Amino acid sequence: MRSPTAANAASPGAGPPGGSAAAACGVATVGVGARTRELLDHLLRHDGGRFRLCAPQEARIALLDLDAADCVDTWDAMRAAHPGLAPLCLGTRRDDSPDGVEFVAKPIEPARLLAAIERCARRAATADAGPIGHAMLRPSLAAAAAEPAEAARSQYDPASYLVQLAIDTLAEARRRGAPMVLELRGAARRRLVFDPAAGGSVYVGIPSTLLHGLACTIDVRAQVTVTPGDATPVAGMERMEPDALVWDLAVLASHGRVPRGTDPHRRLRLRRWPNLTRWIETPGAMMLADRWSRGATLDRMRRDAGVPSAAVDTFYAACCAVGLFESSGEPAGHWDRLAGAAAAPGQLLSRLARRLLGLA
Amino acid sequence: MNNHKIIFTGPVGAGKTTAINALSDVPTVRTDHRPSDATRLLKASTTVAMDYGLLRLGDGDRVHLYGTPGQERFQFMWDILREGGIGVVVLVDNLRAHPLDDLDRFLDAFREFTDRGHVAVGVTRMDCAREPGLQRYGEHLGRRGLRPPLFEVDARSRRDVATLVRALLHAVDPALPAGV
Repeated sequence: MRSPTAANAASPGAGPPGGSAAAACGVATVGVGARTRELLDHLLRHDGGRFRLCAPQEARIALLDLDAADCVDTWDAMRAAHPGLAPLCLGTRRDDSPDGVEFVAKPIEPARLLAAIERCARRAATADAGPIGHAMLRPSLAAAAAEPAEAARSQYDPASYLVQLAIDTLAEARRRGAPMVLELRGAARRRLVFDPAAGGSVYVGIPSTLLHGLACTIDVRAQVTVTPGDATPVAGMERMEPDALVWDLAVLASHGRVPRGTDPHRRLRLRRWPNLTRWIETPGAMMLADRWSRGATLDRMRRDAGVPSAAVDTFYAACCAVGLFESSGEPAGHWDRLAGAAAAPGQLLSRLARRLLGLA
Repeated sequence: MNNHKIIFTGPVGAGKTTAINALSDVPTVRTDHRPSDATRLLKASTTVAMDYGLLRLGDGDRVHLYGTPGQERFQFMWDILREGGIGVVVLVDNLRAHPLDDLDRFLDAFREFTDRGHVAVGVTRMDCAREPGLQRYGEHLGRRGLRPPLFEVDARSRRDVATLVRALLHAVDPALPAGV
């Protein structure tokens, strides 16, 4: 997930509950997306007030998202203005981070992030910040761009993420025939209500930025409670189709990885297309949906689809989460033979599709 | 100049006219008339010949968007419209009594597209009637051996209609680039 802008230092007024904002160690962010920043704010507020998000001029630590396109430039400018800031890097690939600088790999595990912030604060206090700049970061970013699929080869355990918890909670609501509530610990009314009535609905009472951050967080079960909620009010909460929520959460959790235990050589076929007018359209989703509706293995798609493996893997993971795949006995790979069977030339269809993409 | 055609079909009130209107570069040509049959219970005017819209692609290439009349008695028009088409978009109104039967009827009527997989299905008014859900539509189509693009669609939404037609193009030509 790339942040469109790197200049996003948080409001300096964000202080910890029951703690002294003045005494807390300030953390400025560079290139950190709104979703992650809101989650980070929540995390720091409920960590006893040792740290707080703030503007760069009040900060001792700068949290850099190396995946953000303009992170390096923004960091260079910030570092010139505030040379005492100690950097702490977030990123998909550890290789992106210069040696000697604290690094936390995505998806972010709150305990690891807090421990890294703590170490960074200690180093800042002893003036051992290990300043990094453009020259140190740029080569690693270039390497990352050259090998975007490397991180996608890994697998992830959906059970550690919100996506599986949402699936389980919805199943429990259906089993009980009554709503279930998933609530953020220490944040009353920030909740998802899973209502099994009328085919199933999810009522969303968590801001989307925070929800998206939670979706990317490992070991999310420690941060939420799940309880029966027979008389839970849902007025004013946004209603979602359960499949739409699961799809979106799976896309965010996958981050270019496939579920643990995936057999890339198993031939699968889509039972139906994902509902791409209502669910996140992942990169290449149209083409992947078409080919997988005809039957294919993950391995073949990674090799032949013409999109980065990470995009194939994300689409695959989301389809798995919603239960769209079934085994396919048909030989895979006949899409090549189908090409050109259209009444109109492919070039025209391609231009038309681009035109429609512009309209969408 | 090259002319190509995409057909929008489906029962009365499914949103064909609205969908074409959402996409067209020109004011849509409509052949509406006050209905004299049972259709008048559903809507004040209905398409009696066809709807027409246009997408210009530059270099003289144009894609014509034709909407079929919904009533069975205008079926002869369907034969005229299907000639030389790129593919067909079937819109199904989920508020009708038997939308899966409607779907079958229009898939059968455009079998030369359906059999080649040059079809996309949009289910309209799902905000008013959640059932049958897309899963049931998918199972129904699967029993016919079909796995076309199948989306919930608001025919008034240009984005929804454009996404559905884009999916149709991928179904028509699997070699289309991934980025479109």
